[in-house]
Amino acid sequence: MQVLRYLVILTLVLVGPVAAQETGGTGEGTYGGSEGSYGGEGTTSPGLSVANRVATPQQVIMRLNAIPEFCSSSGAYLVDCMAERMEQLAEGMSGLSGYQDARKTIGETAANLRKIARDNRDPQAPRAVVQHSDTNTKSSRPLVAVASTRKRQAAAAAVSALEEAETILLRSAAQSTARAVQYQQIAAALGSNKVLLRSL
Amino acid sequence: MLPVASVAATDRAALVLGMADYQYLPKLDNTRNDALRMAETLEGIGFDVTLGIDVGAEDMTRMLEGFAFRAEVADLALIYFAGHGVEVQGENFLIPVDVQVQSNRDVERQSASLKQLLAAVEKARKMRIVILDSCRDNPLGDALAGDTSETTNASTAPERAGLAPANPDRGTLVAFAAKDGQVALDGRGENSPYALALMEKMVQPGLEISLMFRQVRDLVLQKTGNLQEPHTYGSLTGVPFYLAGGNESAGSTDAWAALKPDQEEQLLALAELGDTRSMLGLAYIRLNPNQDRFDPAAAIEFLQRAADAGSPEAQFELAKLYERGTGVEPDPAKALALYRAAADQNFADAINDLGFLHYQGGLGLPANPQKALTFFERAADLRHPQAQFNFAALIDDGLIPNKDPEDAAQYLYAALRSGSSDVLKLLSERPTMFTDQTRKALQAKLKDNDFYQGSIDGDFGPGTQRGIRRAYGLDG
Repeated sequence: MQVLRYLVILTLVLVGPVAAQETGGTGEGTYGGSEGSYGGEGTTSPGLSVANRVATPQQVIMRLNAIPEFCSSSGAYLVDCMAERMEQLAEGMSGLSGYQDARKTIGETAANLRKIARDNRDPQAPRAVVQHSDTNTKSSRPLVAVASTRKRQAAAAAVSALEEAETILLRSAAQSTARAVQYQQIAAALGSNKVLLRSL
Repeated sequence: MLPVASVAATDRAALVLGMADYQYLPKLDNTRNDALRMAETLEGIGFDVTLGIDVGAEDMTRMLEGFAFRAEVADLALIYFAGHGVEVQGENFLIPVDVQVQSNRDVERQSASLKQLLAAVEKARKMRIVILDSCRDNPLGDALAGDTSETTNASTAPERAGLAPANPDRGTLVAFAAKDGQVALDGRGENSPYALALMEKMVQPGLEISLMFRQVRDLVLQKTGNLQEPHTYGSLTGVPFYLAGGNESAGSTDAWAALKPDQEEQLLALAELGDTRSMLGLAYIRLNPNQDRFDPAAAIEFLQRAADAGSPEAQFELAKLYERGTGVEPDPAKALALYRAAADQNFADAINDLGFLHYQGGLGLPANPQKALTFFERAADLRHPQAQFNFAALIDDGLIPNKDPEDAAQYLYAALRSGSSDVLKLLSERPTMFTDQTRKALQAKLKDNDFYQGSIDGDFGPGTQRGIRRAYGLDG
């Protein structure tokens, strides 16, 4: 699925500026299953649910990584599903200092995707809450489906929105090379869903 | 986290071979005793020992193959050979009991070469040692005819007393009972002087291995009235090893801290003589923050001396300090230059890190994934575990022309075998990072090597997870 490829690229591009260091112990698919671990970590912004709060750059990456898995089986709701996940992520990042540019880009991308879903929606299909069967995670709002006749057009627009996000994040990555120099033992690889390992 | 209950297989493996009852060559008296006692000694200090007494050529080959597989998951692999050895055309051969030699070619065909012994230990994770208690005399004597074959160089002198010098890879030590060209003595008692000295020193708790071999040498010289001088070739890595005792943080450079004061004196003396591994050891002691001796500035001086003397490991360590700003002001340019100097000497840690820095951009290098690939491949082919993982990841991403999931799985498997805990963790916790095809190819690889019996479905369930842990060297 082309769109997801771009999402993954976007995920990892994000790592450039943040110079994240993986600490391990948590993996893919953790989102939705580990809300409990977010609790009790300092103060929470007013109005922001504890479960949704993102405390570290690693969690941003994990949450982004979890989006394809969460949305991949949502069929016609895919585009709005991705929009909703990214909205939630942007909201959760409000207390994460130093990553406001990334948060802004993710929030804007979410808004773009949401608009694309609406502009191409299937008026016959019901609005639906998507739930992941393994983790019981639900979308925070009902989602709209894209009409089958508009699928191609919606996908092209979504890819374009994600590409734009990628460009913005790449640019900001280039500007923060100094921070990226920070030593990392394991780091997500630019433009890939992999991590790369340094020598021990 | 991984289940802690799984216990790693013994991290030290030894193959002990003793040849005494030669069928066509002069029989030897003490080699059998030497091997038996050596096996006992090694077992006593925690080695998993395979013992072969009076072994024929076929069995010797089979034992070496079996040991090579076993050694892949050991931190330290050691082969001890006591028996006839001979040099033919600059290469050393260790002779099994059933060979009937008439010519150089017979020796080459029927004996194990030192190269084969080195190949059997070469995949051990941290340290590889081959000890040749051999070349007791010239077993072939005048009976050996010059090789008249037209296909080989018949004019070369067939052999000389003793063995030829060795040139093993970095991280591998070849210890000879006698200097090249010198004959080792069989000894008047039940054991050879070299075996006796080894067995005495090996069990001494907390004696670091490089110092141990040095003390063995001094002891043999003393016992033989300077007639026999043991010699080691090759270089050990900067990771210290204590054959007996001193196991605290074994296998990491932190373990230098366990060094006793008298041995530190010995290291200082050796460093004065220009021994770079001693300088590294002294530096590591001073880089350990849990030590009273913690002194990064002094550590940097030792590392700088070793780096200037050309030690790639010191160059790499120093580069890390300059990159991170440990004990010095961060200096990206200097760090990069040092990584490059080490990489130029084929030091795989540095090559992999240069790959990483080129890939992500860093130390003033622009991000250039294309350039990074060649570094990762080069380090992966030097069997560097992290590089093997990295290269597998990029193959899996479809970035390497002519490499497919099969290759990715091969590198992942090799990375597991070579003992990268990061790789174990990533494959256990995040296998879906890799494509279905690569996952299936890895399952097939695990199955080929009897680590996994389930179906090849790309699903890393409990069976595959167990296979991954077993391939890594855990009990499952």
